[in-house]
Amino acid sequence: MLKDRMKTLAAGLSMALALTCVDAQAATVNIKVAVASSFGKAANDLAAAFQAYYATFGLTYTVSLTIASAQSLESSIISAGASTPYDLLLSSSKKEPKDLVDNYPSLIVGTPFKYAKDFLALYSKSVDIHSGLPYPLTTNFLIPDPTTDVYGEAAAEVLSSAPWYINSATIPTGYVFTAPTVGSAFTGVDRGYYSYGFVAKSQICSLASDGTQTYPPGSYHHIYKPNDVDHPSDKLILKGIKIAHSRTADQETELSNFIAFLTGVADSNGNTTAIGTGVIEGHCFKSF
Amino acid sequence: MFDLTRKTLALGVSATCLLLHTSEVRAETISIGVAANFAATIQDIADAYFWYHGGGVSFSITSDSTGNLRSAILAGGTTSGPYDLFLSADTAAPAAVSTLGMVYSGVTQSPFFYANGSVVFGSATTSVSGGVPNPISPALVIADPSKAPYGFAAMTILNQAPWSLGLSTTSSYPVSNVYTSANIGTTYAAVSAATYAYGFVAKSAVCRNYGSGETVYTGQNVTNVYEYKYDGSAGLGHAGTTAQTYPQIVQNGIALQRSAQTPTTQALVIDFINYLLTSSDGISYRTFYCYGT
Repeated sequence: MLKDRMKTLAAGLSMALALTCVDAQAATVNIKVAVASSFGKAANDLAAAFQAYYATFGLTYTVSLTIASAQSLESSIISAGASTPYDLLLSSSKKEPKDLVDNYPSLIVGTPFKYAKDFLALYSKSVDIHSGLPYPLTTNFLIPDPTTDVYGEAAAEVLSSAPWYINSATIPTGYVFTAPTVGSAFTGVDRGYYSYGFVAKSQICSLASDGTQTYPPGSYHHIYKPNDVDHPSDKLILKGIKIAHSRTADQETELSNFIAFLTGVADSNGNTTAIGTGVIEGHCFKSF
Repeated sequence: MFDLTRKTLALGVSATCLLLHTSEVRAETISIGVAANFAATIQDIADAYFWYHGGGVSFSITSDSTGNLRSAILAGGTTSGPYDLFLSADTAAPAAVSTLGMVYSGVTQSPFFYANGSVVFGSATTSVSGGVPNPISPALVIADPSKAPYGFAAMTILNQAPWSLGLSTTSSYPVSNVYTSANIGTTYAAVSAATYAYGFVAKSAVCRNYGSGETVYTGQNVTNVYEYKYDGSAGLGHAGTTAQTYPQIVQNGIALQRSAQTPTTQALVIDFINYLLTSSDGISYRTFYCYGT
């Protein structure tokens, strides 16, 4: 991880050498990106880093982000049809991009691509739950709604396993309460409305400058890792897809470069940087 | 404190009960255009609003530069305006769109204050314990002072002794080893990636308050910090005062009229503004990101 940070710094320093080549009069090119709420904060940092990176090549790129639930973003893309304002959807799961491909192929371009992976976390500011969800359950706790939120679906899968064996169809039940989104689940715990709850690792973790992962001081967490027997497989893979939308050639290039920046592959000029994936990992997502 | 905890828990339980019926209620969406520096904060506050209001409301948050948001609002007018609520990084943009203020209960809404920002001289690689070096070397970066309030504040600082650079919003940068970046977000990104050894960033990007005072946010790269407060008082990264001052960075917002609104949406927008400004959640999250409230 630290190695990645050093790569990022090295890339940054090399960019500084290109500063003298900047054309301050370059025309501004804008793209609009629809971002699922769980990736919203990372996307905000990513957009700024993207604009700063390409400024060193004399390109004035801007990125407008619209952050909402993945479902509502997909709905707005479908209802707007050809008049959609968006160039790209960054979803919180595989579902929405796949649904667009399967059922609305005229609204998208290309195939879905992976851009980040998140992990399910149990989080508390007051109860030591570092070993994971207690058994037997004695305290009300919170999960995102498993019928609408992918993190809730993952949490329900944990609850359905031993030793709890809670049928997801019965949730909310007993000590299990739901919030509509992983965002409201996080704030429900963060503001003390519930003692603990299932949230996204990316909501509670950030990468320190020395490469270590940090969590809010005094808080407790348990991360459900991929090799955890209770972990709900690979549900929390975030995928994106290009949206069919009238674009200028410059916008098309910006969009391709944004996706390259996001995924750490070569851009339209053949340049590769780890800055974008570094920003993603800074929010404790795993990049691809 | 115990009473407050009991109340909030009770609210949590009642809100959860409300959730059971949310599928029966048509969800209203509040569309917010927010300056990028406040995007993370408003996302937390919007997420927390559920615990105050209950279900039936969702948010669409567009994060962009104040200039772009202002242009989109003026272009849309009251018929096809994109946002119900505009949270700017300055006072000028809300004033410029105030003729589009939402008419609620017969009253046209005016701009309101929601946060004070502050600038921090920071570096990802180099100690800045003495503040901005004199002479300035290597180069530093500030946000474009002609467009970004945070950049204007940085420029104002650098125009005072001992540097007295004589910078202006129309200077042809770089000047005296001072470079500019498009906005405060890109400025932070450039400092974070060590494109520049150091620069003036928004305090909210490098500071957190977990309830026991403001501290340097260690979950990011720019951990060498020296705050310049508008009034020269002690700040993040140092206990002493600074000789330099600048006009306080005031961020205003305004509720906007648009044809897509229902009366229910309008009432929700006004309720959300009150929540942002006066609730313990709204105050706590603004304080968490080290904004002045």
